[in-house]
Amino acid sequence: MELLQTPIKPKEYRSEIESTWCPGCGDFGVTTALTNIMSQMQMDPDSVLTISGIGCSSRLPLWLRTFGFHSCHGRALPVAIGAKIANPDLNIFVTIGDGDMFSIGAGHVPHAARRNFDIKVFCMDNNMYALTKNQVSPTSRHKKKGSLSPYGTLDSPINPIELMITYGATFVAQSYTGSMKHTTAMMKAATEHKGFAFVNLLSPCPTFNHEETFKYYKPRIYDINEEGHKDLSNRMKALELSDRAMDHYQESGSDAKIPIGIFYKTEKPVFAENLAELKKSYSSAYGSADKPDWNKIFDQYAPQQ
Amino acid sequence: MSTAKSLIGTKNKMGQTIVDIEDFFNDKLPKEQHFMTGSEIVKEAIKRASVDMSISYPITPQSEAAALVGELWVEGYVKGYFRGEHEFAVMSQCAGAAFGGARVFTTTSGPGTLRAYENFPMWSGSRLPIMLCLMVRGINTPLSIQPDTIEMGMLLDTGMLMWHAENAQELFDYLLMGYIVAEQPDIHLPIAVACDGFFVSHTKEMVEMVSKDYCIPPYDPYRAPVPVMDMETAPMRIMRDPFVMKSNYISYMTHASWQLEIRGAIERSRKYTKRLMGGSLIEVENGDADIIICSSGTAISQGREAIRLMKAKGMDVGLVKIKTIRPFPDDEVRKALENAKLIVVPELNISGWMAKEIKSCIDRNDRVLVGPHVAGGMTMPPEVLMEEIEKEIALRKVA
Repeated sequence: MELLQTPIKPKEYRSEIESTWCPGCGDFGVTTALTNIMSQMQMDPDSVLTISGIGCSSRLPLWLRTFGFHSCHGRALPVAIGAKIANPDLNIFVTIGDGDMFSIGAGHVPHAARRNFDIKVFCMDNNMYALTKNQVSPTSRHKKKGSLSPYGTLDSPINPIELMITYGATFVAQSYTGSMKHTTAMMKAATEHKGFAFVNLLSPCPTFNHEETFKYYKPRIYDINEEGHKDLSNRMKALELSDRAMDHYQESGSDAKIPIGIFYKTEKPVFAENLAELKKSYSSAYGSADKPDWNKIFDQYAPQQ
Repeated sequence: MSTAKSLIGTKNKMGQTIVDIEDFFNDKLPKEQHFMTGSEIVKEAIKRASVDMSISYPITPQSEAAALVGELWVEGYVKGYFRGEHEFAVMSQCAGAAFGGARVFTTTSGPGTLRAYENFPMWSGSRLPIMLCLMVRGINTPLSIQPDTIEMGMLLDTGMLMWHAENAQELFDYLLMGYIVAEQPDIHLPIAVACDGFFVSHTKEMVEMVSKDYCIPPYDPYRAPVPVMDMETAPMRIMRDPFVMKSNYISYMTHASWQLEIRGAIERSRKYTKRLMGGSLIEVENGDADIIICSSGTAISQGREAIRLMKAKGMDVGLVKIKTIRPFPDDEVRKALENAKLIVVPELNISGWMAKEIKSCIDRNDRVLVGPHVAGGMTMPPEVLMEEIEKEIALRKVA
């Protein structure tokens, strides 16, 4: 990754486009954290591609002076994969929402994770659809009301942390956008990780979501890393912790705490490395990947003498 | 009109009296007037449509209509209501519900239509008479949530029936008529009833309707030409037997002939539709004029206003409104435009698909002015339409 010779200030990563988010939106914290990280890591804005789908959170690339792509609803991940394959040197941030990622685009998620593409996925989870004015999403609590479910949804929520660990993401964390310090730390750790990194960002919607508010989250969150979760590559421990991440949704356990921090982190070859390895093995048998030995290749299909 | 006759005059569990569809549009039953948005009108139509199942996914501008239909489920007018995880799932879920013998309603817009696209030829191939209410909007990129009819142009060859409502009144009427026509045993095809997003969906209009104490007959799946969930009997057997795994003439022929039969069913729908729509699939005003504005949807509303402005200036312009896009009223359009010297086709899309449809069914098609076009949500002011017509008159020396 090419670094800037002289660091630039976070605000210089911001575009001149004014945000259209509602005042008090949790997603502002994500934009600030992202510009802080890029500044701290001396990232060249020209080396960064920010990709989104559709939804409130998906407007984030517009507020940045990096390259950006506002794709179709649910398609941010495949667009990111395409860009990463075409130009592995790009720093790719996927700024996505809970509906975009776990409902309409859910089919892409396991494959992006298990192939370990070196992309960073920041999911702004407001537990609902806000751009279309209040419908429930896959992370909405059971019985939550929305305009298409006025008497409460019958669906059980999915657990994004548990899901991403199971899908094979090599970095899985959660943060809360009311804490700038923690949000920045988690997003930075994800950016520094080599491989598919996922951060679920609990990001309250002040306009439509009157349940999961800043006030709701603040007394409930606790930092799992501060409270002793240090063995980050311990998958079973990570799953055990993540299993409790949604306890606060249960009526009987409404005082349950909400874990934030890094749940899981492991080292695995990224897609580009696996590809290079494949090319190398191909090189030994049939010439090099760039200069194939065509005679040897064609000989495979020639009738045996 | 062929319906489940035995139920006519009886009451359903909501206390609604089941009446013949034609009684909705004659003077036999008491009528009431409501000042409502297009979305609210969808709710009123579905309340009277004996719908078994409604499935949808939120997308602007149809979200409100889908939410209002949800209220009907709570009130008991719609038996089942479900929100899928995306439009591709929703339209597949609709197929499942229709296969199960239900009368199905769904609604979507623009990008949602395209996301679901693969399902539409599957619906028609499977002969599922699903009602799709399209509240049309622009298709990205750049993103637009505003009215644009481009998606209708993309649905022309899916094997679905497609009608275009100019206003909320037609939207109400077409939703009810649509079920009856689509479910005729010799048709049995899905139907898209389109209206222009926002211009119709979010605008209040006065709409006349039969009281909610009446409804159209329920769907009778046993009258379907395609047996419900039966994979042993033709034509559904073609889906079970492994034609797709065979490369031979019979497999090609099976596909081709079935597709032809679908097109044949679209043609056969004319007679039912004409009867319900007052005898014609088009509407003609001042048809003897040398200059005719010909199109569908709200483009025609703006055309009507342009005609009024031009009349004030002493110009004589007529109008031909096309109500059904599939089947396209070829013969009627050809006849109505026979003597026109200039045919103006205003459209709310970039492609001009309506002009192509008109050009393909008339002779001397150089008489067609392809446009004016607006797209991505732009309005079509009547003054612009008038200016374009005046320019063209000068250029072609018409009148």
